[in-house]
Amino acid sequence: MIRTALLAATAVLLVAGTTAEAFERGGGRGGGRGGGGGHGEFQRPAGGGGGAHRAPPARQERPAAQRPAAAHRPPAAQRPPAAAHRPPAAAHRPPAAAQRQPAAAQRPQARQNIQANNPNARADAQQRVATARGNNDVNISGNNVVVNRGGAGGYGGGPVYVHDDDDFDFGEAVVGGLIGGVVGGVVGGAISSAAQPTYAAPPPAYAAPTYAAPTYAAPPPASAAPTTTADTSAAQAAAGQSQAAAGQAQQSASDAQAAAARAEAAARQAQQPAAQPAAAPQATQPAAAPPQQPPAQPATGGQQTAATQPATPPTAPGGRFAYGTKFAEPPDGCADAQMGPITYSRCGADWLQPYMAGGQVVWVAVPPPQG
Amino acid sequence: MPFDRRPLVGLLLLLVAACAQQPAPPPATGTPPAPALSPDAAAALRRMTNALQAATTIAFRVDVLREIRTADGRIATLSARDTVVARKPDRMRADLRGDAAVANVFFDGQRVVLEDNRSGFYAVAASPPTIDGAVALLSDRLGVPLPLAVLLRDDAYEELTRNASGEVLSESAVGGVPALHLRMRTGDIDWETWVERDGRGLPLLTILNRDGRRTIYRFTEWRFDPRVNDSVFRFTPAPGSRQIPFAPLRESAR
Repeated sequence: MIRTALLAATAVLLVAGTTAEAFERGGGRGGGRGGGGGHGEFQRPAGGGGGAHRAPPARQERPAAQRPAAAHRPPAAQRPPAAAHRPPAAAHRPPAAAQRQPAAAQRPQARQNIQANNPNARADAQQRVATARGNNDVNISGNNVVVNRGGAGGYGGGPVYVHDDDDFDFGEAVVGGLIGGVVGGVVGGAISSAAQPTYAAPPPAYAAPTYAAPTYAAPPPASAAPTTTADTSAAQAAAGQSQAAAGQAQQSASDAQAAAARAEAAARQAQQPAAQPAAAPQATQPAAAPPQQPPAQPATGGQQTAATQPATPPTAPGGRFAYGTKFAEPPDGCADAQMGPITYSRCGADWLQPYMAGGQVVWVAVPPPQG
Repeated sequence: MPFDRRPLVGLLLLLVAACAQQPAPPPATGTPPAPALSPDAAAALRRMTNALQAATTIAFRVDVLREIRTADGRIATLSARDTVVARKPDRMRADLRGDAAVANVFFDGQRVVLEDNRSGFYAVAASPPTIDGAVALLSDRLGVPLPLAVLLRDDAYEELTRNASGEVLSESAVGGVPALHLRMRTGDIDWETWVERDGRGLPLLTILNRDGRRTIYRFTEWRFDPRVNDSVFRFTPAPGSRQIPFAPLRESAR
């Protein structure tokens, strides 16, 4: 009886060992296949059934010495193709309702499954978050071109650079010929310093002129800088609105001429380090830089004659920034100020108007708007 | 013994003749004839532009390194990654992501819009109804240079080869892709481009050298006739964004 029982137990053990070996073969084959396409790492939902894609735990518990050698593995030719082993994705994916059903404790597992099924799940989630923030990017993905909402390419907080080719004429921003010649480029180098100009603001050459409110709706006329003659006539027109201002402006003309020589010298000095060829000489261009400006600031106005150039661009009464001074962004302490359809940035007595120049916004010091 | 002056006179005459010959004006050389566009370079450019023209919709991405001269006269290099999508003849979108500009350019067949992503400002201008017209407007009137837009033009080959000279310098490789290295010159601009040796002959790398400053374009993605929703080309102001005017260009810059 006892012998019979021992024999039966031995038979059971032998059968169990054979079964374990059979599992081992299957696991080894599955592991080899999984290395190809990451198949073995597929997370199956609980109760999904079938362990053909993963080795049973017995494999890990078994010592390495007992594992069958690679020779046990059938040759590649005998192996079924990987695709045949791979069940369709839909079969692995639990129905949507099933994903919603797990309790809170099961949710992380469901999330893992989503991650496994969709490696871009995290990016998708970020995209959804970014959608609420606005902005958009075109994304080339496969053969689709889509718009990704959100993000400005990671440059949003970066330094602000300025278009190097200063081809813009902001003369229109400084409405009123009284200040003739105050076009963009008057303080060409100022823009490179972004928000904080490093030079001292020039003293106002004109006192409290009256300007019409800038209107950007009208297309700008040909932007030839006005001449002194035009300035004078414009000044006379302005004097109709403000006799006192025009008188003071004429009085300051002589001061401006005297200072023009200094400006010209500064311009020449500023042009020296610039390797770019200077612009064609234009007698009507404004002075290139205020006298106080460091010589490193480039001049863009070319050579000028003192007789036709104002020495220092005017500023708003009590203001710091010469008209035409450009900024990549409003300096500290400025606040938005809506005047009609235009949103200015007001910095005390200074008014900056935004323009789109070369793919970026430039803030230009303009006369105070009326109204 | 009378001094015979004849040898001296002869020597003097020789010296005078030699001196007279020295300052003689150099022979008129004239300017050397401009080298023409070599047939192999023309063929490479033709193959490239034919491939670009064959597609109705094109999307490409390019990494740009642009040298600029800063206020102190030194050179700095700005980087950018631009993505351009165009559907001929009247849709275009360019996303500019770089140090100098973070902006989107929209062209929907009627207007061009430039949106500054950092500030939320945007500017709008009525446009000619074609990509060519919109690009010309942006470049010539609005100061938004899109030099690569020449690749989208119907007459891209004529534009690239107008007044151009050059040749295929060598066979090369860019990013492991066999390429032809073309060295070109148009006016005062030297440019080089590496185009695929095989296949469509698409541009892989282009370098412009203007006034001693280089701009390097490394093309990283090309898509032909991808699916593009029309909304990609349509600008919708985001809440809180504000419209501002384009800065007028100087007459000299136009």
